Amino acid sequence: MIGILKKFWFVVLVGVLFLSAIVYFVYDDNKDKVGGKTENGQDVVYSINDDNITADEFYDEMFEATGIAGIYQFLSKTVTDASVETTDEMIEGAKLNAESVIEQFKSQYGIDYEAALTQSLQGLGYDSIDDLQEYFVNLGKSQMFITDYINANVDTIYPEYEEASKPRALSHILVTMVDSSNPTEEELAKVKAVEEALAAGTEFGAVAYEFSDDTASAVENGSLGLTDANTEFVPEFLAASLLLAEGEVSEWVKTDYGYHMIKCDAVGYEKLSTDYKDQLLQGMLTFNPFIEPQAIWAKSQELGVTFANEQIESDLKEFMQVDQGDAE
Amino acid sequence: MKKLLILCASLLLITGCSDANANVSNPTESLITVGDHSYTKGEMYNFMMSQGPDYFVISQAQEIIANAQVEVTDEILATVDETIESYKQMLGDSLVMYINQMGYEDEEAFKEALILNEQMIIITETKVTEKFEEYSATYAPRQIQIATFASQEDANSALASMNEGTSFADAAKEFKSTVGTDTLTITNQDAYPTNVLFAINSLEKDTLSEVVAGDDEKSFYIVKMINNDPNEFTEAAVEKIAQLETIVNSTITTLFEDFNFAVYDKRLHDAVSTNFPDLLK
Repeated sequence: MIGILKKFWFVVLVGVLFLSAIVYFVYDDNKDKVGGKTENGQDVVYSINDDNITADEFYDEMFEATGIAGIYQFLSKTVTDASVETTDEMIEGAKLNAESVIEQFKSQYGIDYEAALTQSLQGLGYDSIDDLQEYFVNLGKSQMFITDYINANVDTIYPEYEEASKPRALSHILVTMVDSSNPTEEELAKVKAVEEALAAGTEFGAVAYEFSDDTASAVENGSLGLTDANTEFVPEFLAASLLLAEGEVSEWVKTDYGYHMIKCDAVGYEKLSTDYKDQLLQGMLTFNPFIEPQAIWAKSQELGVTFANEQIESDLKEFMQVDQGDAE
Repeated sequence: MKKLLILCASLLLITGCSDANANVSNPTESLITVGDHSYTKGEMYNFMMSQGPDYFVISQAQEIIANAQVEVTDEILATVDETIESYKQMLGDSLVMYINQMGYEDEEAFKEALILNEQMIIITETKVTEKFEEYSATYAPRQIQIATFASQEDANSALASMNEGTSFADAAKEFKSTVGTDTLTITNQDAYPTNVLFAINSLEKDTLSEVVAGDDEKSFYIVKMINNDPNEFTEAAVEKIAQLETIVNSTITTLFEDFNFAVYDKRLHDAVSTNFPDLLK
């Protein structure tokens, strides 16, 4: 043996070095890996004080906290996917949105953007960045599904929203004041100029365009878009605007910003849904956040839904605020 | 030679081993089916493992540790009930919304969290008591009264009055101290201006500081040292030190070590490593 070693010492040396490298490579590659554990054939998730918590036990505990949200997410995705056809336009839009989001994440997270984006997607029930485009397609389909549902049920949904929230399209003319309780001569002169222009028959929008100090709305002829009782206006402005009938113009309304003259441009579903479709949809969903789950539930009944047990069904209905009667 | 080659090949095979991911025992069991699409237990498990499982596990583990160390006594329950009652008086009908915003499903879940908190306080205070001498030397607990004034003139007048025999509280009130003058138990971790901390470190028991300017020189302070020997106010000192963030964190870390906390799922391990790195060995 010693003779062989002496004769082939170089080969032995190379072999020992090679073997050492492999051993080190194996050690280095595995040292940070997470080892598994089982107990009675079940995977263990973690252990504390020599108690092994199995995946099944962990599942039961977590399901109590977050399970129904996951089931609703699945139900929502499946129902909207089955209800709305995927169009080329949706796919193209989703592709652009996905590219934009990736750029945003790159800008915010740098080289770690993939991990951050993947984590965000997993929280929404998707697996990886490859699913980002699918997420946007599903989002578009979900919005279309809800819009279709609301349009089909507007006679039952809209009246309650209208009575409670008084949606309307508004415009305004603002004369900014340093202290609206003590307007300066210059400020009052502008107020007078507005009044004279309106009295002369100039359209409200044109007067707003020329005189209003709210430059963002002035370029839109004073338009503030669709508002309702939940819109975050200062209280005096909101209160005055909700009292106006269609076409009516308020007296000057005093706020901390100055004097406002408000015009109600339109009320009623027909006009608002034509010119302010997205805002009206959002307003109704803000007023009643359970419109969407109720729509999902109604469609799921058409498609046929079954549950593993009654508890899941009962918990899901409670989560979605769907009564027993709605299921029948 | 052949054996050597087999050994090398075996070693290389081991490098192909992946991290472990624990899974439920019946992952293909359907939970809900819509049309011909099913959502299985395995998919649900993967979804839940992406919803912050580390916070859930740490909370669960902490509960196991706390229950092993501290029994839930009637006294603890009474304290918790009192706390909830005071929340109810403060928030009225908004209590449920407040509880939900804090992340608790209902009042019962909130109560459980408060019980756990009480247990952890007891555990931490026990640890502080065991190492009282060491922690006292490190964190220098003191009992003081402190008055804050908006002007040096008021502070000077208050100090003169105190030196003539007026009580600290009366003199502070007379010259418009902007803070209360109750006896406070503090440590060197409390956020006082530099000059105030210096004064606290140098005062003997039952002595007054000079008027001390704050860092911005817009506030002026007088400090009275009530007691600079922590052994004479042990309970208050223990309570104060046990509230320090470093002490709370080190207590939890030590507990997790002592109770051999270990994770056997890669996803959970990564999440805990990111948010609670000190709790993994």
